[in-house]
Amino acid sequence: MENKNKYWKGLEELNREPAFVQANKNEFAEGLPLEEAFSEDTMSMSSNRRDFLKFFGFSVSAVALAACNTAPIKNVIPYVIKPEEITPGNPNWYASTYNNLPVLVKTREGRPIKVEGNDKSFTGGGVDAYGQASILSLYDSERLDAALKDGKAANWADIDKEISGKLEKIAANGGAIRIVTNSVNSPSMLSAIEEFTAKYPTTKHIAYDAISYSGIIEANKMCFDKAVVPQYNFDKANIIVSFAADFLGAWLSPVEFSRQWAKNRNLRDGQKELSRHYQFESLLSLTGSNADIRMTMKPSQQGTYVVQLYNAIAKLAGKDALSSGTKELAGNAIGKAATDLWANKGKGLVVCGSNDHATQCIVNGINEMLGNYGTTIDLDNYSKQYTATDAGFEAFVGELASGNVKAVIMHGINPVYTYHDSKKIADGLKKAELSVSLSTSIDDTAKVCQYVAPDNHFLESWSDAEIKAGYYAFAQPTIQHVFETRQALESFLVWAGNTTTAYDYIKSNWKNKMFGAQTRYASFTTMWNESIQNGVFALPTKTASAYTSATNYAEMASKIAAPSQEGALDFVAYEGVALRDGSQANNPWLQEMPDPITKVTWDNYASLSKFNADRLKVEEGDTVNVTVNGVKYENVPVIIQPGQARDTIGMAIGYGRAEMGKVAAEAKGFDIYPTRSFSNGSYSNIATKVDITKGSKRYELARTQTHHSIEGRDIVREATLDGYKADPQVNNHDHHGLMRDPKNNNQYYTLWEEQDTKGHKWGMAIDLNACTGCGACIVSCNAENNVPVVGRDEVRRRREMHWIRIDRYYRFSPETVNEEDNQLGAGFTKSGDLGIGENEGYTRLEGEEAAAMYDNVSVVHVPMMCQHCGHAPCETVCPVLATTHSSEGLNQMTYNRCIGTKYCANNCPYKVRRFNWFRYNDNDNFDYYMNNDLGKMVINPDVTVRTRGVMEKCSFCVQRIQYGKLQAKLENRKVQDGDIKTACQQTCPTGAIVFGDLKDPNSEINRLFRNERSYHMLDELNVQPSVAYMTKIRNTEEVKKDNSSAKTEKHEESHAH
Amino acid sequence: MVHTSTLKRLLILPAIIGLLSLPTVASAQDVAEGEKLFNENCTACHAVDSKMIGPALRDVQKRPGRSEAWLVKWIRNSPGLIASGDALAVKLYEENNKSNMTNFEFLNDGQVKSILKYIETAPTAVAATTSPAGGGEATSVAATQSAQGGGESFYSSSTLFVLTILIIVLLAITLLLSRVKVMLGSLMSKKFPEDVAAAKPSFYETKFLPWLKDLNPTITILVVGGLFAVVGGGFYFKYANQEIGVQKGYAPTQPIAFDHSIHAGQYKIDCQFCHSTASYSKQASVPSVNTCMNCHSYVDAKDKYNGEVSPEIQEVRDAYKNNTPIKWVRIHNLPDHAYFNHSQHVAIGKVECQTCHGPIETMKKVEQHTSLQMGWCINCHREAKVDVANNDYYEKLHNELKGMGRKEYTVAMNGGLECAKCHY
Repeated sequence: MENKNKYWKGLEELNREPAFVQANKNEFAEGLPLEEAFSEDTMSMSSNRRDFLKFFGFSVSAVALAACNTAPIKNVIPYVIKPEEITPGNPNWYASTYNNLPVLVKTREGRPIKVEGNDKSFTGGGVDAYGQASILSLYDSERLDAALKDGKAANWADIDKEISGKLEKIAANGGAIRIVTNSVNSPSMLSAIEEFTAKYPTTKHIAYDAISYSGIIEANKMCFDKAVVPQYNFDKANIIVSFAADFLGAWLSPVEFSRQWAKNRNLRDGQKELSRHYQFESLLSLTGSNADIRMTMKPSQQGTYVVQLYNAIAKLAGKDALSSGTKELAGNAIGKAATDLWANKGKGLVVCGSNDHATQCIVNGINEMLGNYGTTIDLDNYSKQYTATDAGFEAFVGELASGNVKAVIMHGINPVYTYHDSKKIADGLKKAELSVSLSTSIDDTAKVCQYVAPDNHFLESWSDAEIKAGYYAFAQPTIQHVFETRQALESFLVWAGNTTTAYDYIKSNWKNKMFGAQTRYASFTTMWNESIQNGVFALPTKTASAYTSATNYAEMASKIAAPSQEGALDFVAYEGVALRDGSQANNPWLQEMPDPITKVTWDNYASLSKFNADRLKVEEGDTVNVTVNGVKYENVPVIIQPGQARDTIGMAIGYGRAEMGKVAAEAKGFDIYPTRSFSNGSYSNIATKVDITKGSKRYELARTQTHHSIEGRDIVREATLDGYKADPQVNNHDHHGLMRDPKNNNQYYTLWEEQDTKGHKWGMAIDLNACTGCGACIVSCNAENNVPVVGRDEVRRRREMHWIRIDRYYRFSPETVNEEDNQLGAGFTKSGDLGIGENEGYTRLEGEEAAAMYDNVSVVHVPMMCQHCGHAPCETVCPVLATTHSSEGLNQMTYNRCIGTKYCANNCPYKVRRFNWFRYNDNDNFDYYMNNDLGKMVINPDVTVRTRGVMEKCSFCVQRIQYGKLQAKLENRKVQDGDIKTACQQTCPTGAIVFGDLKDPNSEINRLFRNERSYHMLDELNVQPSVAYMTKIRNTEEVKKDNSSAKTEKHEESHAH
Repeated sequence: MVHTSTLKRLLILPAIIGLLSLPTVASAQDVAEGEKLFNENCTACHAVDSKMIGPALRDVQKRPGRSEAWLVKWIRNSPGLIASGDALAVKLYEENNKSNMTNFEFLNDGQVKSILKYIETAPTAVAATTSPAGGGEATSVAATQSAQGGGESFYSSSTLFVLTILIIVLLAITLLLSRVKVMLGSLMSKKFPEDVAAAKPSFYETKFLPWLKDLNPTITILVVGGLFAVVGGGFYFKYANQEIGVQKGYAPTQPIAFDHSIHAGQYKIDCQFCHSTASYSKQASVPSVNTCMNCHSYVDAKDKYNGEVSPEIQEVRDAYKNNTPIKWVRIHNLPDHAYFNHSQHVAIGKVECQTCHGPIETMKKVEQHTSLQMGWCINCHREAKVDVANNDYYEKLHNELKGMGRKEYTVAMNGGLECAKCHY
């Protein structure tokens, strides 16, 4: 059985848009902009004799001047007193914690250069893109470099005196003091706030998260009297049902959940079972793209769907159904999910992304009926990442607006930006007698505060965090603070009249409070040192018990807001995987990371279904004017998103931060926070008062999705679990018989000599079953390999520099297309000819029928980087031998030999080579980080910073290979399997990437290369890649049949309006 | 080294036996050996007459409790003696800030005794420092160095620039004058044609012009052009080389005139005593000031500066006291695109420091000894052998070699010429 599904990356490719076809003929979108360069008044392409003489004269004198340069004096400045632990040239690693992720920080000569996951923690060593990029924010030259008073730089001692004085006066008069922070789970910070409260008794601490989990907390309080976010165990769930919870992308704790999710979908060791993942959602999220069964719904229908599932399970459990208010919605899928869940009682998990406590109560009810508490949901070792409730903050906003709050101190939040009614907060802050922000940059809130007492970056601070109940993580400084900033903890302490340093305070706090609570260590010093070294400290976990509730679910169901009218538009503000809530909007790595689904960089946009786009008569490149809850957005670029629910508009939050810094200003975009509202006790991202019209302008998004077209070749291999059980090699059989030479043992025909490898042969395996497409590897590679940021305009010209990209392929779900259409590979005409550059044979999908096809799609994410071919086509065409083969199987790129002919890129079948069109370092036209001294500190000293005019590509992190080999030699041992990890592998939360020595017979990589699911991409070319991919297996087979009828029903429904 | 000294001893042995009746001669031999051993092993921390890291050693045997047997024990294994609870040893240890003296167990009792003999008879400090032969060598090296240094300043680029401008200006003046001469000549011939005709032909007209006319123009052009090409090319090569970072012979003046010929040459301090990270890090690293102060808190070379602390040493002490780092000038500058790791070469490849850095122990002012060009690296990689037998990392290679019946394996054979071994 061959896999002949038709895969495509974007609408322009699917429909063979003329512009795409034209651009795709060339490896590079455009040549050198010579005309442009010479189009200035003084220079023209037709330069005359006098111009020639001028140029000649200039170059002669330039050479003469250049020859005058003697070698510049370079100083080498050793320490006066060298710290014992620092060895120039060798890295030091420190355990730390960022954003509730335990991490390890690599420092070289005293400067942090890379963040990796802490493998001793619950993440197993994974970090997301957000965490990977955090290191660059340390070197953000636009961070606040001093304390501010009324917007002007001020002395710390002075502002401390003034703030303390004002606080004392306010407290003496009984005026309300409010400390408003994001969810604080640091025991030491909480204790500092307590001290502060003791000094100023009118103080109250309020927690506020821009993206809160208030609904879950309230629901658990109602149902189980535990106002917490529970610990979810996706690894213990055979059946996962998610209602719009993007738990692999941005929801709650994505790194941890990705790891758990992948654990249950591992087929590498002969397992034959996969979890089954249902996703009901409106936008195509990262999680939805990985689901086995995905159903679309309008955002406002979320509650109804949840009630439907409750009813379906109640029926099986013999309980009373709740009134759902509407008719059946998703055909058979809810019923199927219910049956699956019921059959796996205690081994299922239902989660919901809604922030509405009523909806979350029903979800609790479902999980309770299924007996999931105590197994897949743990309320005893609950998560402490988010503790804020929206009602608490809303009450504060009321107080603030009425002028009753006399002093406000804000830390870790930016409510003027993230609160839907910015003006209310800004005006309220002006009424306060004292307003202090501890923000690290001049953000929207800091701007309206009287004082700004800038906090340190996490890499400059000591701190602790209780990520889960009884599970602690530590952060330690890895660099002296770069600017005149002070850790927030110390600020609170100073104002409370305590001058202890953060380190002493945290240590004594642990000695006094935590040491007695544990039994593992007999001495505090051992406990402290070990915990700091490991980065984590855990009390023994409690036994997770089952919970039952006496909640009146029927009453709860009646509180759920009714869905919007059929045919009316819904709007949803969502959190993107890269930028999240926008607090790192000034981070160029995140701005340039393509969104995992839309592959758009540097912008937010309105995503529409094909159905709605047709109705509005807009195409990609057009803009729309959107009005949501009275907030107007004009000329918003449009993305036609396959798989998006009809009558839904999605826009990402985190943009529109023009004043945060130069990078955020360059990205700009639209601030979507104002569309949110406070309803039913929490902030809702969903709006139903929506109006949309076609915009007057056109806008080209910087989108990488079809920058590297594959011309319909057999790239993606995918199969169903049933198919896999019947034949582990399903869809992965050799079908390139014609390319084999019967006279030569049926080997592929080849032009090349066999390569001889010595010692090692490095290889990589990528398990498509584990890769979620989250993009952490891209940012990790950026940091490790000094990959430059090129900016929106250059991305538009297809000049992004990322060494690793994640190709996202769409496929129409089998049930939506007829068999014959789906059997065609993209790029093939019906007669089977290669259709490169031709439109012949393609029927452009139009009309209602086409729109129906776009309603649901299946997605496969394929990471793509240099395949380090044994018979590399790039090597044979390089005229200067700048790219050559190593005896360890690496395809080496030697920048200093490269003269930039770009032949290699043209000859690469995988399109993985990147050309440096510009010198990106020291170039103010690329004002990101490589052009200033501070930003340059993030550069990895072991990797060359490439210059203009040379080709570059993935090196398999050769610097890490060399380092690993050297360590082995120094320790007089062999290289152990797992010693050497590439940057992409190390950060991958799901362990989808495995790297190792193919010559080591016991290595994991060797085992995976022999796995039945492994295949090499474009094997038929016989370029002998060193990267193997493993067929993606989906657990869908059974549902497909049931579901097709459901889909037809749904189509009839949609045809109706 | 060991070889020659054994040989020497073999020769000495019959002499000692034959001249047993003449103990003074034998002890003279002992003193000579003792001096050698003392200079090799002790001078890093001790001097006879001044306190360095360790105490001054003059009359050490005459101090209370220091019997020869005790001293031998102490010198060979002082930590052991301290650990055994010897009262005197413990007292000494306490007195010297609990810093241990290195073990010298590789010295036998006789050798230790000869060192003690040498200390007994050692001349006073001034004589001691001038006596080693190395001193003379060092001065001669210094002389050549300073000559080179002067040359460098003459050939500096600014001189060249000035010279070029001078040449251009002079040429312009010559051109101008010749034009003036021609003009005046023509004016003369117009105004006073008879005078001009009567004038005696000049040397130029009678001798030089005919000679010039006889010359073969092709050969002349080739010779003159060739001369220009050679001279100009030479200059260009020098500057082009400098431009791309080839700086063989580069010997910048350092902020402190640190003299390797004294430290590494005369006192034979091991390179890695100061450049301590060479064996386990990418960088050999210039020592931090506190490393200097390990010795220079005691060593002040007062004997050489009329009882004043050496000004250079004073600078080191000031840097330490004021916590201001010393800005050394980097001599060996590899370009950024070449990755070089010291530990690979020092600890694994067992390459001597001198192989790349030249006879550092004779350099008063350090200069770049080798070109550090890629061809130079490659040459060594072609020739250097990999010691596959003594490192488990190479086990597989070693087995393959044994199978092939080959004995030697060069770095090049192990992929040492591949680009990505140094460029990434």
